[in-house]
Amino acid sequence: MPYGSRRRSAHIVMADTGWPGCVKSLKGVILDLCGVLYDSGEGDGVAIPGSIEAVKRLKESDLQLRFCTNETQATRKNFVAKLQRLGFDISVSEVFPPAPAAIAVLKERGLRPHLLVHDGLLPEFDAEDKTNPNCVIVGDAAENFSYQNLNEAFRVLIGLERPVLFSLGQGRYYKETDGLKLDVGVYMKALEYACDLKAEVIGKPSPTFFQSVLNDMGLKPNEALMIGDDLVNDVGGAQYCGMKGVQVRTGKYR
Amino acid sequence: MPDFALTIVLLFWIFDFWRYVSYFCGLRSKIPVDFVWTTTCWPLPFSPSSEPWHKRNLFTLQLGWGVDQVVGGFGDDPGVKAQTLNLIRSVRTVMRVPLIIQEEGKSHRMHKSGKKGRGFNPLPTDKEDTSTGRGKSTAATSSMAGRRALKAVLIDLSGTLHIEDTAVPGAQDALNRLRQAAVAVKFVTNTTKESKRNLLERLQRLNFDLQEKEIFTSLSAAKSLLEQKQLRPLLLVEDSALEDFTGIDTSEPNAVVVGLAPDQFNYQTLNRAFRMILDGASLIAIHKARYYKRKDGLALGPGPFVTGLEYATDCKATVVGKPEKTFFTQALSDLRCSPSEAVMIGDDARDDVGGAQNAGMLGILVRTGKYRDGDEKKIDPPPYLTCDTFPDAVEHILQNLL
Repeated sequence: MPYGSRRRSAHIVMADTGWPGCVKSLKGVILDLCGVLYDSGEGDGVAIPGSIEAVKRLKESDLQLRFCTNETQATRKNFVAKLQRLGFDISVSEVFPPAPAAIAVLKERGLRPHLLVHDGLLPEFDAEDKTNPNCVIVGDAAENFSYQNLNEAFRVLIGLERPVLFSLGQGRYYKETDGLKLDVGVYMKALEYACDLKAEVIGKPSPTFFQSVLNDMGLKPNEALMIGDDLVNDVGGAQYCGMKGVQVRTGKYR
Repeated sequence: MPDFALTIVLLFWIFDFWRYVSYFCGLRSKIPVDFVWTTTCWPLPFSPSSEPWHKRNLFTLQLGWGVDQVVGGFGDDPGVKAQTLNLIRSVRTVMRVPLIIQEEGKSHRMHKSGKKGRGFNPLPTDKEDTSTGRGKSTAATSSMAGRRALKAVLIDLSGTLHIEDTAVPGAQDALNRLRQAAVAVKFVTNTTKESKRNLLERLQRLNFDLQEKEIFTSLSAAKSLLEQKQLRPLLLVEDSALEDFTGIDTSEPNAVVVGLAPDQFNYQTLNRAFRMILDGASLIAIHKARYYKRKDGLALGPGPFVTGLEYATDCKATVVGKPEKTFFTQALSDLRCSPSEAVMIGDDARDDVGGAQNAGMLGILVRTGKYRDGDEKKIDPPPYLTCDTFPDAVEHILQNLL
């Protein structure tokens, strides 16, 4: 059971090194957004009490700060604007969502995507060639996860000789103000099962995704710490890369 | 005659009763030892042979309760005579039990030899003696041995008896011939959107001779699981399948049943199902097919959505359709026959044949419907038999398994 083991190892890391020793080598902090700094929901959602001040204090420290999110319901620009409206001191260049990483992969491999994503994310892919698709990108499409849309994605995949499915994250569910909602991972699994294939995950907990953030900070994994509410994707993924992971009891934590 | 006998019995009873009362009241010092004679021998006038056994409803009689009860409706005050008559009938029945068993054995043998005599695929005499040890000799020794023979044939529908609206050539005749043999027949199918009535109408249009009660679908299996566990489901099935769930309470659901319901597989409904499962509702899948063929191309089946919900909630769905073992045992349950006494005919190597053989039945794969070259190699152990069409399978059963 990965849950239990990862959780235990998180505790062991903390217990062995303790905060002081840990902090000495620490040069950067990566924060998850949804569930750590704010809860999403109607409109912009709500900031978690004290988190705005906490981000401010981190910025005032010597530590480098980045935000690593699997948010795929809006373009990076709109997403950051929303966080700024909530009162967070965040700029676009500090935020790492999966969509820009996916676009880099598409360019690298010369793929043309069929998109099953949230309407809010579509502008991010405006520049991509989407004719005669040879891969499928699935993001957190929320209301767009209709049978019709899933079927279209399925038909693209089943019609390909070598089907490629990218999933922007693999979360099971997340919390909105009105309750828990199914995340992209569920639909990724559905398409995987239907087409008998394995999706490539872009975003947390993919090591390449964490590495791109570390590269941006110019840090080694053991110099950084990740704070998140998702045991598998945030804490587990970061620790798998050699970073330290901190689990918070907000957001989807149960 | 009954009235005369009744009088004698009543006299014996009164006599016995009086002796017992007097013993227990201390008027007699010795317990009456001859009571055994008086209480066991009085039904002799009604000896079991006084009425031909075949005129009786054997089933109810075996339960010790005659069909011609004199006791009136519930709540009526039955008269002494009626009560006595009933008691007498019960005892007569008990006395007749050995006779009934004997006769049943006889009738079984008669039935078997009668079938062969009618000339449906008569076995060559040399084969009859050597055939799988289930031949005439075993049937003749005892009725229990006769029950070891094949008792039931389960038949898949789509792809085996018909393909869409065309019957497999000769399938109707083959079914009729199978029906004349001494085996029960049941039709088993994985359906998520067609009710039994729909299936029945289609088959009858194609001139197949069958009844609704002979059809067992994955929807029936889901219903009986719900009844057995007393669950109130949220039904993610198409409207056309709802009629197979009549009588099931769906208020305040504590279970999620996933069939094939494109209209219901939207984000909102799946979220609702997801939250219910997280709160402890059980997840039941009619089956887990990946996709199916529609007129406009392939379309997602229930499997992907079940898998998604399993992933989201970290639980395992209970699958009720083929190839689950319970599906086959449930289909056989009301035929009162064990899997080793049944054979399954189908066009799906994994779901029909593999599933049936896993449940302990024999599996016959037919090369119609969804069969593709090499399908028989997909399962281990391989099918008991692979033949071209349903009529060939029936022929084999009539020749070798009965």
